[in-house]
Amino acid sequence: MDNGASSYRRFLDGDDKGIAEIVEDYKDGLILYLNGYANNIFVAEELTEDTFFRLMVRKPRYSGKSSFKSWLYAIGRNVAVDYIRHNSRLVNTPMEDMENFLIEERSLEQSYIKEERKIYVHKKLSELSPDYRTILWLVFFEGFSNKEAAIILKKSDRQIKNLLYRAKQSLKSKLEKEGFIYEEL
Amino acid sequence: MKSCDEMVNSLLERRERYADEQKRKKKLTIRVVISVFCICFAGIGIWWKGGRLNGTSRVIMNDSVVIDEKEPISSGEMSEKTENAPIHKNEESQMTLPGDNDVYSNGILHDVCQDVFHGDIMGLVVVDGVTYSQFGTDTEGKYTPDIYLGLAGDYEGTYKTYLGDLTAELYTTKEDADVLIVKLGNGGVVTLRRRKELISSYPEACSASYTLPDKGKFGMTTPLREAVNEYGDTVIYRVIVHVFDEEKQIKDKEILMDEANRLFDLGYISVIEEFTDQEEKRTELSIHASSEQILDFSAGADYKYFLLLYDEVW
Repeated sequence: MDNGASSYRRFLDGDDKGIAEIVEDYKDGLILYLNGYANNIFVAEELTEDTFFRLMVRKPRYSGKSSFKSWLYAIGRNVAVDYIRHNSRLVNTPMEDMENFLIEERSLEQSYIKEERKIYVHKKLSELSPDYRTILWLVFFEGFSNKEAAIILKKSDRQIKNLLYRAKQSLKSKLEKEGFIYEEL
Repeated sequence: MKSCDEMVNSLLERRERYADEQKRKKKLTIRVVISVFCICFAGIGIWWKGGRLNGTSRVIMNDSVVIDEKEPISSGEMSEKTENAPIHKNEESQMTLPGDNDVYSNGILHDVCQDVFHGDIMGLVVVDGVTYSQFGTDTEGKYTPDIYLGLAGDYEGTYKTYLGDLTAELYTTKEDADVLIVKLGNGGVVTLRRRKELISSYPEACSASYTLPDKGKFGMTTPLREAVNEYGDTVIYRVIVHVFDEEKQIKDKEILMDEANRLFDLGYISVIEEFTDQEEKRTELSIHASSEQILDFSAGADYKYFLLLYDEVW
């Protein structure tokens, strides 16, 4: 159930507990989603915090036309895109930090996803192109409908359908090479 | 990785720092253009003398105005400081005050509209959660009272606080669902219009790279365009106007003031803001505009223009 809308309304009315509830409900999923853009779990965490901060100071209008979650994820995507635009040069990550990143990402992944098979599939997502990674994360892991994914990614329903098909095919072929068959794909 | 509590605490601290920073900027160097104050009281005001309100209208042009939060200045000083400021002359302009979530709501503009003009208070009522603010007096009988809503002083707003012994009856009008009439006990009639929300951001869309238009033309960002597409004329837009000479953005205050005056004469509510941000002076031209005014933006022949939602700049 998407309680974000009522929490946000309470926050706008002056109750800071509303924003705390939103953070609790959406933080982990948003970090993992934005990790698809940032490719760095700690940067994704910062972008997530920036997304919540944007809600707190700008207090954008939530029209209710889409679910609160897809609206929030759309804002997060904008934050990530702005970040990528301003930080477009490659960042060299020292090897000793990489292991730490992976440990943190796996830990978050495990607590958020909770199903081992899905965790394995999520690992394989990182080998796909960003577009495929994003659409599979939204639809397959977050449970957004095609329509909601279209709102977040600012594409038409038809584009989403085509993208999802190609993404699934790409992931399937990667999994099959390793002898893994995931029926839900 | 932060826990939920750690992230929430961090957010609350950031918000506090952000609010302090906003206050610091405003206290040090903001100058609010008189045209915005004149819009609030354009043509007509409610008088408050000795606690009474009457329906006589006058243009409030020569009262003191707060330039910063601590130093009201005399009218003589004001005329010197504002000789180049756009002055709104239209007596029946639709006045739109910044909404509660607007960055001005805790700043100077809000304070001025409430307190500063020697007790000249603008009529404002809240009926069923909708705010109506004064935009004129109905001396020509343009509006016909329809449904009696009760005494204006029984509703939240300035009549509750400032009415004194004067009676004020509140009515809807037959001609316009967004207009109310206040019939004052001294015979005066005041018209109030439904206040539209002020939009400064549209987070659902993100900015991109843009190409400058040709001279005499304008462009706008994706967030602004999508906001106008979604909200249409149900809201007022707070828009930054960037002016370009060939490829270079014009930051000269005099030129921006000329542009502000030009737009003002064409019916826009224009505001010039000056900030000192870490010793660097910065001037921004912004407008409060309807969707129609944005889509048919009056670009001057000598420059190129780019429109952004206010929050895109900060």
